Amino acid sequence: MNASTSQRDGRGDSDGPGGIGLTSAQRDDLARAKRTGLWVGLLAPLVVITAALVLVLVWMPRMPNPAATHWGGSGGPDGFGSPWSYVWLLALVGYGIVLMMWGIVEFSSRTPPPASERVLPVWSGVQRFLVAFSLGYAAFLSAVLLGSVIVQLDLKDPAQATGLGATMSIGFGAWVFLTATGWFVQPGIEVRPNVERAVEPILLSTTERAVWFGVVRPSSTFIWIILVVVVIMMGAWLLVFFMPADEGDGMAKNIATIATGGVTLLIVLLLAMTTWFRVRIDARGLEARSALGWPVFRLPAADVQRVETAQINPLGEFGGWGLRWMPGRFGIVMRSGEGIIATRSDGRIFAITVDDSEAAAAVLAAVAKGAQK
Amino acid sequence: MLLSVDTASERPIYEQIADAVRRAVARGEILAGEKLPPASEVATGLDVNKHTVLRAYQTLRDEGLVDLRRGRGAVVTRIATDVVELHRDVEALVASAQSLGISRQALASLVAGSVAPEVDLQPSARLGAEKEPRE
Repeated sequence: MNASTSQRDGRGDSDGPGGIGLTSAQRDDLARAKRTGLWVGLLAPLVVITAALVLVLVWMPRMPNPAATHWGGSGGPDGFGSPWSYVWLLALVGYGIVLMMWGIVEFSSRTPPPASERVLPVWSGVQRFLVAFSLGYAAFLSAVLLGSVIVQLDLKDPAQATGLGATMSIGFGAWVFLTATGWFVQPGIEVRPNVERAVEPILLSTTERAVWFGVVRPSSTFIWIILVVVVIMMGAWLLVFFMPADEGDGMAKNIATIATGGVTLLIVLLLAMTTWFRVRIDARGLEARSALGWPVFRLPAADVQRVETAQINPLGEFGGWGLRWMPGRFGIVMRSGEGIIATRSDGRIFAITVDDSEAAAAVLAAVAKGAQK
Repeated sequence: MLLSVDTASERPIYEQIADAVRRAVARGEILAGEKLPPASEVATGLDVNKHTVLRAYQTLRDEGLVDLRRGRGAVVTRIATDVVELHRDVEALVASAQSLGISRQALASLVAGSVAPEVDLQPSARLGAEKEPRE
């Protein structure tokens, strides 16, 4: 599902006075995309979940009480609870997630006020994917919960319920199939605010060379969250380490110690790899290198079509912090606030949160211009 | 921080790099206690030899603007804070000279002439005198 191939360039529609905000053609596009999105990503999933909910309620008298509520790796159920947990699960995890996803779509696709500093598209593959994903998710959840109910209908003893292999396959199949369907029934629209605020490149004569250095670092809130997570993980590890082992159970304890220690190390390593980056912008383009030296992300100067500075909102525009891949856009976004948004020649977006973004963008614009000569 | 050099300039490249760092410090793009980018990175970015960059860093160390320690890189010293203040004074001075209709060259020679011999080698005084009217 490559977004860039199906995106229509919203900027081509601009017939307004080359200014700010959305043109009337873009407004129409946005309305059309949102209308389809509403059907595919909100109403259809709600209908699917409601249908499943009704079925579960209808079957409620035929359910054992307690009912099987959890299946282990061995096949049969290993957890039991009230049959009503299926109703609560569908209502909370079903309606809850679908509404939340639509909330993100709705929030991120609001028409920007005139003179806003919004540079990212208000509608693009990101919203299209969230909408499609919501439909797939609703189908998956409904299929899996219905399957779990069906295998224990009319049973006296819920432990006799069969495994969920087939149900899970159907569930995942439905998820993939409906996400794909949901993607393709939507129009491939990209609506990008027509802001003419591309940065002024710094003036470089042919004999001049410039390089810009910066860092991507998380906000202090994020650092606190990381610290808390790491402390909790370390605490869990120490707890396991000092836990008295039952007789003959030393092996299990060793495994648990190694596993928790390993997971803690892995998480610390992953955080260190993806949270701090050194950024260099020179004649080659932009290079963001993790503080650990790897991974490295590069944006070649020749591939930069335009550069803007913007206020970046990681949660709303990239669905979270860190390294974010979304249809049509990639971001190294560690905090809310200023950053560079570069558009590649194929329309894909590369975003990165750095301080002093004006200077960074000016250098990137200059080298991009130089590379096109 | 932004560093730039002009290969057509007669000023040696390492001096230009040192100038660029001084400007970045003066503008507050890099603060006391922060590390300068590794010499190898600057060399890659500006397409110059790493030793040229190291020479620039040594020049800056000699005037006390950075601390060079093995394994720690080039760390900007506390002098940077004074330089930022000085830079503000310089900007004010240039602005008032402009409002009086005094050219930059005239101002530069005024500044050069007013430097007392005994503070000639003080780092901050040297920085002020060497700042080129480049931008």
